[in-house]
This record gives sequence, C-alpha cells and structure tokens, in this order.
Amino acid sequence: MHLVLTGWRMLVYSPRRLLLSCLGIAFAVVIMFMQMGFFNGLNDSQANLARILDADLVMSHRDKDNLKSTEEFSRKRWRQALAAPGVASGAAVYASASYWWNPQDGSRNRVLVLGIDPDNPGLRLPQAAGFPQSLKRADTIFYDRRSRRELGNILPGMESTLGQARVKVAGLFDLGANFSYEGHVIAGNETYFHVFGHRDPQRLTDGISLGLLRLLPGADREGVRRNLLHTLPDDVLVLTREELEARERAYTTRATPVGIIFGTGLAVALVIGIIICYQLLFNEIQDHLRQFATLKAIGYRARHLYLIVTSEALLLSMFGFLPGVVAAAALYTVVERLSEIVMDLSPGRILFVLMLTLVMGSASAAFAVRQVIRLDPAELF
Amino acid sequence: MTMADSQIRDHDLHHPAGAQAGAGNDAVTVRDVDFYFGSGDSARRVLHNINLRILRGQIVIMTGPSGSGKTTMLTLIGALRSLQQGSIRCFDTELRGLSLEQQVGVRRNIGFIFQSHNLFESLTARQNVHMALELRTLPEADKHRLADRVLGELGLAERLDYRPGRLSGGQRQRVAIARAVVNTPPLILADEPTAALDKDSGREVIDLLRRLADEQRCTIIIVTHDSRIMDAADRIINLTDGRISSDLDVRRTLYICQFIKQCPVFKDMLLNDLTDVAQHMELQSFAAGSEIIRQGDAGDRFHLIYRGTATVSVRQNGASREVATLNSGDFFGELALLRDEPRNATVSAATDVETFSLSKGQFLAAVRDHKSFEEQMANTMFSRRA
Repeated sequence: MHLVLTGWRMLVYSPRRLLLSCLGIAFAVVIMFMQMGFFNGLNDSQANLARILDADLVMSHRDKDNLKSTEEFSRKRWRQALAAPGVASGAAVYASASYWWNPQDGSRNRVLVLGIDPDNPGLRLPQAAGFPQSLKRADTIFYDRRSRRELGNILPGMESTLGQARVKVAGLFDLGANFSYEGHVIAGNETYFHVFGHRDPQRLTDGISLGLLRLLPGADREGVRRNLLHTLPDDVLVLTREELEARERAYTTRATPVGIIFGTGLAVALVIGIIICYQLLFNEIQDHLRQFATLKAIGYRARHLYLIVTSEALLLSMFGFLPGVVAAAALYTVVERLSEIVMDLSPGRILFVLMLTLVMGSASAAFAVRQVIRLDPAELF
Repeated sequence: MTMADSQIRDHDLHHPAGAQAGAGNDAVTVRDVDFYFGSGDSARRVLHNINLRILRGQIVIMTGPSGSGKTTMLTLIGALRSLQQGSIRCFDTELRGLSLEQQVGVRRNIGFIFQSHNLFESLTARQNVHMALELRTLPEADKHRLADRVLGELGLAERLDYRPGRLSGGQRQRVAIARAVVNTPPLILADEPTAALDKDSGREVIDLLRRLADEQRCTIIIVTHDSRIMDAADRIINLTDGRISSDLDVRRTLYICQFIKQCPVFKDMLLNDLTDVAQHMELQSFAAGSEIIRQGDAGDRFHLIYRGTATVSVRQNGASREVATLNSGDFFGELALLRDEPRNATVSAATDVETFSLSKGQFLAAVRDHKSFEEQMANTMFSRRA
C-alpha cells in the first residue's frame, strides 16, 4: 500500500508535468470515446425505431432483416395473430421510403414515412405534443425534429411536399437520423395512403411493414410466439421487442464494415494512449534511475518496483480519464447537434472506456518497467 | 596519510587484525577472490587473489587509485555482483553461487550508502527512510516511529517533513544514512560517502558511522579517497591494480609508531617506513613469571610492551639483580640484534604481559632499508653539490 502511495507522491510532485501528462492521456481517452461514440451512434441510430415500438411481439416479413428495409407482409397475417390465444391487442405500422422537399431551399432528401392508425398508433412518443390525435386531420404529419438539417428548419404549422402530396406539420417528435434515411415522418393511415397514392391501392393497404402485438397480462411470451410461428404460414417472422432492438443494434456491425472501421479506430486510439502513457512513464523512470537502482540494491524485488510504476501509471490514467470524459461529453453534444446521430454516453460505456484506459495504463507500465528490471544496482558505484 | 596528528583512542586493542579471534567475530571473510570484467580475449582481470578477514564492529576503509578494483570488491561483498572465483562469507552466508533472488535476500541485511544520496526528491525525509522499511512486515506505526527515531538520532528531528530539495548536502547524506541504517544492518557498505560534502558535513557523516560501529557493533566498509576521514577507520586497506598492497590496523599502527619512534634506531624514520615496521610486528603473550628474554641467549626479537609490567634483571657473579621495571610503551631487545651479541639481561613478565615484537630479520631489514634511504639522501645531496 505504501508503494502505491509512493507512486502517487512521485506523480504529484511536479504538478506541471502531471498536468501535461493528464492532457496527453485525456487526448487518448477522447479519441477512444469518439471512436466508440461513432460506432455506438451508428448502432443506436439503427435501433432507435425499435425502441419506440409499443409491443411485446413484433411481426414482420420473413426476409426483413432490419427495420429500415421495406419488405411488407399481408395485413391478414397480423389480423390472424390478433385472434391467437394470449394476444390482447395490436397495431399495424406501414413504412415506405419517400422524398421530403426542404421548404427553405427546395432540395430533396430520403425519409422513412411511417403510417399508423391515430386511434391505435403502436408507437410511444411521450414527448411529441398532440400525438397521435393531430394526425386525424387529412394531410398532416409529425416530423422528426432530429432529422438532418439538410431537410430544412421545420416547425409545427409549416407545409412541405412529401412524395407527391402537400402535407402540413402537425407536431414534432424525437427519433434521430441514421445512415439509411436523413429523417423520419409519421403520418396517419389516410395521409400515408395519399402520399403513396400512385401505388396499387389494394397492395398499398394490405402491405404492412410491422405487425405489433400486445399480450394479455401474464401471458407466456415464448409460448405465444411459438404458437404463432406454428399456426401462421412461414412468410412471417415474430420477434420480441428486445430481440428486435438487439438485432437492430447488431445489424450495422454485421452488414457493414463500420465495426471493423471504428474497432480499428478504437484499437489505434488505445495504442496511441499506450505510447503517450509509456513516454510519460519512461521520462519519469529516466529521472529516477538512481533511486530505483538504490531500491534494487537494498532488496526491492521486481514486483515491488512494478507496483510503484504501475500505480503511477494507473493513477495517471485515472487523472487523464476525468478531463477526457468531460471533453468527450462536450464533443458528443456537438457531434450530435451537427449530425443528428445519437451519441449516447451511458454509464456502461463510460465504464468501458475507463477499463480501456486502465488497460492502457497497465500495458504501458509493463513496457516501461522493463528498463527498471534491467537496471543493475552495481552500476550505482 | 595523516595519522601523526590523530589521537590514539583509549580502545581495547586486544584483537588487532590477524590476532586470534573466534569465527563468530568475523563479519566478512574473503578467500582467493579473482574477478574479471568481460569474457574471452577481452577479459580484464580487476581483482587478483584477494584474501581478507573483516571483524565485527570494524570500520574498514578501502582506498587506492581509481581502477584498482576497490569498488568491484565492494559490490562483490554487497552481493551486487556474482562471484566468479573464490569465496566470500558474509556473516553466515556464502555468497558464491547464490542465485540473483538469493542475492536480493542477502542485500536486505546490508545498508548501502552511495556517493550521491539517491533520495526521491518527491518524498520527504521520513518517507525516504520509510522506503527502506517497506520490505519489513511491521505495523505502519512502528515503521513511522523507527524512521523518526533514526532521523532524530541523526539530528534531523526538525526536518522530518522536508523534501531533499530543502535540505543541505550534509543533511541529505544523513537522510541517506538514516535510510541505510534504519533496519540496523550488521554490515554497511559506503561508497565515497563524503565525496560530495564539505569538510564539516563530511566530518559529521564519518563521526556518525564511527558511532554506529562502536555502539551497535556494526561493520562498516568504506571505499574512499578522502584522506580527511582516514582516522575514523580501524583498518585501512590499500588496493593497487587489483591486489591488496597494504593492510593497516590503524590503532595498532598508531600505538606502535608512537613508541618505537623513541627508539634511537627508528628515531629518524619517516612515518611511511614506521608504519611498514609496525605492520610486521606481531602480538605475543607471556604469562606472569615467565621469561621474555634470557640473559646469554642469542637475540632473536625486538619487543614493545603493549600491556603489563616486566622486570629487567642482570645476573652478575652468580647473583641476580633487578635493574629496571618496564611498562606499557617501553621497548627492549634491540641492542642484541644490532650488535649480534647474546642478551645482556633477562626480562621476565611481572604480570601477564603482551608485546608487539619484530623478528631479527625484519628488524635488520628495516634498519638496512632505512640506512639505504639515508645513503640515497646523502647521494642526492652530494650530486646536487656537484
């Protein structure tokens, strides 16, 4: 314990050096946070839709492997499911891609349009004022406040063109852009059919994207699902909401190289951190070679010296981590505002980076301590 | 060497170097040690057949020109290097063939003092001393007390919480000594402990080491060039080119020189030659009543009384007559050697007597060398005149 204290005292002896060291570590910590933030942002953005679904089980077309794709399945299947034992109620959600014209500059961007029944929306948007009742009026929509800015500065009451229809913004909700769509729009069913009025009416009304099911209290979710899969034709997929969210989160990583890209970024940040930390420890040890050699002469073993150097490294890492996490939080806010990609700084993620930072500290200590281990105390004379 | 102005301490001289002493009294025994730096063709021999016994409680100064191997010797005794040939026993541990791990164990019982203090500048005096206690399993409070006490004894009670940066050179070295002695090691190895210090600080440090040796029977080996501290040593070992070129028992030498200078034969001798003579003198013991020399015998030794009282008697016409009493510091027996005559009197021990004695051969050699020296001087002066 005293050796840890010694490491601490050596570290804080020169506040100037400590400060510079902390900034170095903080820099590495920020890079790690950013890489992780982008990576999670992608996954979280992909999964954001799954989070607002008000359902215990979610039905979709068998081939729909993520919520942003537009495979549709027959409304009849959902109706059949509603009648199955254990199912209390449900909602159907239409979803199609369309274009949104920016009312300010007339530019055009892809958005995902969700069509819902205003009396039975199946979506939980507690922060959206007036939702879903305002959607009953014809040609009104709710607009995702966190769509990308290229879509324009949209406020309630504005009008714009969605697909081929003129629509009026009845309210705003918060969801966030992702890498498939620049934004989201929610419409009532009637408005939805109007927007996609160029399509075959029969198929338009029958083809739903998601069938949401709420179960009776106490119903066995697994049992209900097995029963549904058994009784329905095998063109549908039934997932729990949690499974869906997990699948969405993993989708981007699985389907695109972003996992590798940001994973590499994270590893590089870690290596940079190790190098910075090693450099600091190296200087620290260089300045104390005679002292360390003296300790070796008077009977300190390698593990004692390792303990001193490692506690220095870990304390330094912690000191660097604190400003790092503060800076990262600030940067997350900025990036989120600029890109509208969700940059979520959860305690688990902070803990993860803290862990990486400590790994960084111990790894650099393990490298740096070798020059102490090699020290020959006989050279002191 | 400036022994002339040193005082003879009123110490027990009973066990001068080389005198019979139990093995339990040995701190360090060096036997047939050779040491090489490098290997193969480039190997350089730095120690040649070193043999040495260092007793407990002694301060031994090792001196010699740089490159003479004294520092190597110190690192070997301190288990900081592995022995190649020969043997070193450090108390009860044979250092030859120890693993590195075992060497670390040996070093924990040794206090090291270096030329530079090697203190952590980020730690206070107390914390620096604490570093040496860290390896012991003691309650923290005890460690604190020990560190404070040692620092207090070294006159640093007011400086416990000072970092090295705020201490003077002497104070820093005292903290380093406190770190070396806080575990009360039976052996302390010091490398130029006064080199970086001014005269007064150096004196302080050396007095401190003297006290440790006297009060705790701590054995101290100091490698130094500093002639100012030679007088603190019990023994001065001179190394030249990896060999022991002289090995002086300081107190004994001082004692002998002081008295034999009064002998006309040695009167004009230079101090260096006197110390050579002193080195060759052996301690002999005589029981009360025994004869040390007998009238009529051939002269074989020159004696200086170290302890006890002896009586001189001359036998004339069958009657023995006591003519003088000899005490500690008195000498006798030189005339028979010089004139190559039989003894002209009998000297017997009135009490138990110990003498330092010189054999006839050594005595004559010393006189002869001394003469030749005088002749050289005369020659030099003669040639100058020419």
